[in-house]
Amino acid sequence: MKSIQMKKSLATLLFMVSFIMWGFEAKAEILNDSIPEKTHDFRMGIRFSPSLNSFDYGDLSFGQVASDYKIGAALGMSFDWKMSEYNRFRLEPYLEYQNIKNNSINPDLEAITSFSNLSFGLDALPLVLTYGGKYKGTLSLGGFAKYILNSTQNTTLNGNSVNNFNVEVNKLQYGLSFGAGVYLGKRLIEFRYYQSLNDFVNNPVVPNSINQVQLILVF
Amino acid sequence: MKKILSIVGFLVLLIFNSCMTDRESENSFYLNQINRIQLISSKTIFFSENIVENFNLTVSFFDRDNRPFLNNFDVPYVIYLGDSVIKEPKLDLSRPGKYKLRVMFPTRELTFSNEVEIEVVEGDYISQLVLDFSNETRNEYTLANKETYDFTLRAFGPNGEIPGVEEQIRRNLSLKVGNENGNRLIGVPITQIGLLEVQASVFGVNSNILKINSREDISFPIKEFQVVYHVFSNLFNPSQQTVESQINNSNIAFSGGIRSSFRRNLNAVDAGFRFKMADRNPDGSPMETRGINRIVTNRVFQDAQDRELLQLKFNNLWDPTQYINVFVEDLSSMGAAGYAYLPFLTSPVVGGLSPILAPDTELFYPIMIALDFRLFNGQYRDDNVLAHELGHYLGLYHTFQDCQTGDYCDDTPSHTLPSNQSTRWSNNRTNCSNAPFISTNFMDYINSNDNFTFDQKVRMTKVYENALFMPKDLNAPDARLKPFRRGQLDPSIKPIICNFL
Repeated sequence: MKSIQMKKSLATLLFMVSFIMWGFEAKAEILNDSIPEKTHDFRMGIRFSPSLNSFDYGDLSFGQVASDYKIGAALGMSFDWKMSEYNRFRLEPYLEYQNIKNNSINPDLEAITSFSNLSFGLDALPLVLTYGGKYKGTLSLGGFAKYILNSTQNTTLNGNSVNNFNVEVNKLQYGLSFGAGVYLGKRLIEFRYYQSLNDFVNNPVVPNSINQVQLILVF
Repeated sequence: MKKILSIVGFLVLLIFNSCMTDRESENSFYLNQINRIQLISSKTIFFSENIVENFNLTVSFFDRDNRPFLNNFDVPYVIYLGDSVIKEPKLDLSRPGKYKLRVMFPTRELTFSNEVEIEVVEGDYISQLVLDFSNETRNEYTLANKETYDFTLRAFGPNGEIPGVEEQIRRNLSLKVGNENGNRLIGVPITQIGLLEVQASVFGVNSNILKINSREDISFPIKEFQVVYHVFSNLFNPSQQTVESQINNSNIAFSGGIRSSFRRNLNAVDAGFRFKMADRNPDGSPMETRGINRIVTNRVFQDAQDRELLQLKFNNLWDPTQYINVFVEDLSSMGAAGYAYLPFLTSPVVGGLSPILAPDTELFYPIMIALDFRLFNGQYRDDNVLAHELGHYLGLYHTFQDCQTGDYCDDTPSHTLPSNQSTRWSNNRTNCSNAPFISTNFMDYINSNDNFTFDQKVRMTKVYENALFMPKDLNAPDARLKPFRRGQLDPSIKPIICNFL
């Protein structure tokens, strides 16, 4: 399993590098044609983003999503302003459906609490560095806030549903996001890592926050 | 450009390598509710032996509000003996010493139970070894080669009774009964006659000594009586079948043939008395209905102790030296199922029956048995009432008579009736020494009874042989008995009233 994951990561890395290089070459061609580039423009697109969600119990390093992740997805808009030659500003409101799971590690006692959240989120990315021509590599840094519109939870103990256990969740989630991707003309592909800065579940024993990686596709 | 590429590559690697992360601490919100673990060991003291012994642990989990948690759930926990983890709760008993025991559940911050100290000790830890009868065989009297005894043995240490060592005691027990040695506490046979001493020994420590008076059962010739039921014409006419039912049950009771769910009494015997329905009138003519004599009367007596009723019965009594007279009456005013008059004796052969009267004394009291008519019409169901009353008729007292003289029979533990109605009929009794025992004697008021004892048999036999008015013709047809003479009724003579309904 480990070697398969490594191959995947290398393939993805190569894919990303090729996109960035392609963007570099395209920009060079445009400069040679001596066509002046717009200093201010605004783009708007539809944002779709599948995601991997996992809990961080203080046991994950920066950028990590644990192996017990669950899949979610978001749909929204992307508002993208060019601020300078190398910097853009983006606002991305979206509706997100998010699954996340809290597992026991005890091999003899399987306790699982699963959550399904429907939330409204807003990503604000004041620092979007771009470099390149038609295909521009990009790094983004910003913050996010989500308000959980609805959250359901279910706990099982060795496969049997537990009826009298319900944890309290924080409806407002906020944190930082870091992304890397590429503009393909007006389209954008970006991997973005979300590090929540507050606990999702109010728990006196287990500190927890949600880590998330989204593959953001803007059309 | 190279830097950007490096950063992008690094980020992508981080994202995918994150899938490799394995968690090391227990982060389950549910399981981390465990806040306290309570450990109880059924056994904390072990005697040193060359074995490895299992011990039972009771582990309870509690949440932060101190509520029981994960009840009835097989929660895996880690057992620590000292600082070592052991897979199963086992202890090598060959190594005396003190050990600390605790269990742990791997919550995020490991949760440990309280610490239980267990100790492997030598025999000298025992300060007292207490041998006692089991409740069902609590009796200092027994019959040799009949029923077996059960004993209990409890070990006491500096902190009181040592719990959970029964199995070790059983393995290392020596029990001396008289001159015989055994190694068990249950089903101990008594084969010797006389006053026997019983003593147990465990790990070199001797118990107290119990004394058992072992007798040999004596068989007396069977004595048979004819019984006549007197019924009042204006009350109730029982069927022959129902009156015979009480006779039949009495015969089984007096022959020791009734069995209850309890184990057989150590002193249970065939009491040697039998009963049959009378078939002839006092003048020798055949009875119209076998065993039943109808007394014609218009009087209705509300009070079962009415003086006129007493006189009526006294006047209608058939010769008590020929018959046992049983009157079927309405005893509701007494709240009784039956009553019986004790006999008078001509010589002081047993205690509790006085005064001693001359053999030629005229009949002055209605020596008889009364049974409530509801026993025959199906309203009450107790097949042993007549057997109980016949016991009185033959000179027996209730086993719960008192704690001074008791019932004059050594092998029936002296006791009193519980005042609590809920335990009044229970076979679980407490004797006058406050020790529990199981009573199954016919002369007690209990739910289930099945025996007369050896001493009761001896007493009844002596009473029979020395009673003033006792039907002996059937047993000694050639005897020259004095004729029956009815004198004046002495109403001061009172029966034993049996309120066990």
